[in-house]
Amino acid sequence: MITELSIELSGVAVHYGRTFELKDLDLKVPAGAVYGFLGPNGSGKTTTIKTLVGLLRADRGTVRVLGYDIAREAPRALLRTGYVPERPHLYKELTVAESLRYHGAWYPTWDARWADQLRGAFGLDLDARVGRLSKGETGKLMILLAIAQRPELLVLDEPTDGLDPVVRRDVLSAVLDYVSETNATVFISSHLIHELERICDWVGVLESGALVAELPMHTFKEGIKRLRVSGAPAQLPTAPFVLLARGTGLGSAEEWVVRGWQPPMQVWFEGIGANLRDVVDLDLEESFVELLRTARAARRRGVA
Amino acid sequence: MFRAVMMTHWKWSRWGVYLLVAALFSTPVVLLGVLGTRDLTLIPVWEVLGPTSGAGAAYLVFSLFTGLWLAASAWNVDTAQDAVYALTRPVPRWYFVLMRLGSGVALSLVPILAVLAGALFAALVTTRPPEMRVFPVALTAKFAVATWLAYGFCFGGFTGFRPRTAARNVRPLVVILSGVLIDAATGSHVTTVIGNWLTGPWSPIGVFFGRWNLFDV
Repeated sequence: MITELSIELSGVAVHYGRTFELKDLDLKVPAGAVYGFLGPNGSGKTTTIKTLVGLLRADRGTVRVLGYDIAREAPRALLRTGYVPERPHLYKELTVAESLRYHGAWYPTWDARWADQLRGAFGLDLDARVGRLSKGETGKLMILLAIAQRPELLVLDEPTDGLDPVVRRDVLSAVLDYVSETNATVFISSHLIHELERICDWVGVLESGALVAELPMHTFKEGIKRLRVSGAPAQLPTAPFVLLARGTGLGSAEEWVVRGWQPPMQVWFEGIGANLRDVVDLDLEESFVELLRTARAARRRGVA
Repeated sequence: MFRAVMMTHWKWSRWGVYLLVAALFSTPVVLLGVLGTRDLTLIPVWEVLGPTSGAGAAYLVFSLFTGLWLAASAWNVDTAQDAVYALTRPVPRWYFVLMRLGSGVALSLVPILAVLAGALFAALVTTRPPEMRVFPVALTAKFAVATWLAYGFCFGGFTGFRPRTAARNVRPLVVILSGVLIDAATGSHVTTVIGNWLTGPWSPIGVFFGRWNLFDV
């Protein structure tokens, strides 16, 4: 089945315990994208991922993965999806060799030869028990199992969390090698922003169970700027960009954080009698923080 | 897939299965040791039947333990890990549960064969009086049915460690307990009638209450 979108969530609400973890979440992951799913702790990233792989059922809305409705056709989607959960889920009693055999038995696309090559590259001992592996080795084994099944979609929930930089690089390299070879879609959640900056071409930002931004990585990186402005009136007319934050800066200048900035927009400042002194690029982490700050302020205003 | 499921089940249950095999094979050997002779014509029949009934009770306990052990080992690893690995296998959930159920039934054949081997050994090495018969196959069949019943009950129960399914599984027990209490309070004898039926030959769990003698008259 050919699909334009590998993952599509429409109006998804998930009730977890007594509170709503996800509220009317809409999310679209294009086929072939490496989609970074950002959000602070407790924002609902893991709940979203558990809903994607059928571990949680949406109370409302539809979840489609690789064209399949996950509520009715989860096994078909899972057959083509490699999943690495936040916490190790493998059977600790099994050895690495047994884990490979067990996992491979579920997937007709399992590539035993490649799995063995990856195992060698990762330095995993076939006879080692999974329960005795270090955190880094367990992370490598989970990634190995997910990609050796040759999935069309990889769903990775903080796969490098707690790993040392060397292991982190090994794990991400293996994922990127696989993607470059197969053009598979990757949906990866992380709070390590700079890690995602390096590998992702799409980014979604989740805050309190709602998506506050979903855009190509280059737009995200280039579209959010800090402007230093002086002489602007308190009440602003409609601007050609989105004003995310407005605060006092150094001296008489104000600092504005804006989204959707383009250089020709500086004429707008002349029109309102203000002076644009400087345009500063924000790195991904600063952009992320500003987005969250704006979303939280908007929510507070909504509550008030 | 089924082989893979069975491999994991075997890995988790094998030490218990080894112990059960040893215990089940040695039960008739211990029985002969208690009787003190292989020539059962030398002692009165009632002196044979007493220890044989004791061994029968041991078989009953072992069948319950076999069912309990195989059911517990089918689920406890998944339960400990919130069943994330099990629930993300690319098969319908009923099919996964069926494979797990089937793997336990397949593994139960190992202790069942140990019962048959021990009972056949005892049948071959003993000399019996004309009125005494030996039932190695019947005993094994009884052990197998009891084991599968115990396994089925426990397997269903152990799927209920998650709050929602646990509540569903506890509901029939609450109904039964309420019935017993109402029966006791009103002085009717419904419980006695049901109890007699449950322990009778036509009950689905009647296998647990009959005679389990390897040697009988």
